[in-house]
Amino acid sequence: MSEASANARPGFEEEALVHIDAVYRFALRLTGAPDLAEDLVQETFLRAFRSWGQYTQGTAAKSWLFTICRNVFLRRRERSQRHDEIVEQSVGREGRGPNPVNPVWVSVLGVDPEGAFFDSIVDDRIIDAINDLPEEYRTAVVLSDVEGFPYAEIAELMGVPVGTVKSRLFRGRRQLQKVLYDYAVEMGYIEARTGTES
Amino acid sequence: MSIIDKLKSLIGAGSGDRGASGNGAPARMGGDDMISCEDALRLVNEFIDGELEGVSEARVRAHFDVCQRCYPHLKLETAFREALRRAAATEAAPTDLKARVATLLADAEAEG
Repeated sequence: MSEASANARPGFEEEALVHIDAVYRFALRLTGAPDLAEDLVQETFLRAFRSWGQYTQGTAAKSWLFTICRNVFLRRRERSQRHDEIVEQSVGREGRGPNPVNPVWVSVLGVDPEGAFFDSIVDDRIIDAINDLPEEYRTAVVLSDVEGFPYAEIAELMGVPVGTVKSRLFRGRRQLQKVLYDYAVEMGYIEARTGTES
Repeated sequence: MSIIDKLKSLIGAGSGDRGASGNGAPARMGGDDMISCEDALRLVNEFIDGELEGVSEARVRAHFDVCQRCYPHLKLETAFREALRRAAATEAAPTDLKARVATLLADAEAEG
């Protein structure tokens, strides 16, 4: 394969560089700090640029960039410190599976059935709550709920089966909902449920 | 359709005729066609994500459309998703970072 002389990476700007905002957001969620995120974004695009020849044009460039971004992040983390592995549990470990009735919603229903308390929570508090999730949950939730990736793409990106993605989404969302609900109660955005059936 | 519009369409924003069946019991429409409350709640996330398997979106929607007990769960789940998107999907890369990446790539290209 010969390198084109004028532009060695045709299409890189249109297909890859256009995703820099999304990659930056993802890097922010992964690292939790703007300076680390900026560094990660630079490394991601440099690697993507150098291996642009291996990228199949027309496939999901955003997904490809996110994969590179997460791999660089995980490798760096491995080098710098050991991290607490989450215990991978299957959703069905309690026999019939987890309770389909969300306990947080049960607390909310009687006092705020529209979920208006979410509007009172400032963006920074929501972002802090996302950042506090274990990486495996955080990545799944961000890719699905913020960036809108389908389960199959998240599975490929994270290198796990779709069932594991679903399990991580389930646990990550429930954890996030609990944290945000507790915060809203603490701030007086929503009345605490007294525990008695109404 | 934007994701927010999709979320709105899932909870049927604008139509106020929900829960006509009264005290929380799902209405019987076409007999065995109705999925159970337990199944509806178990599937609520796959429904919102457009990732249902083995059951049609219409069947799940039909349950939420008439079940006063389950509909608020769908509504809260979508309010939660909207809050996440509102908070976390709007950040953009700083302008100076974009400039630095452009320089970095130009240098890399010059190196070959």
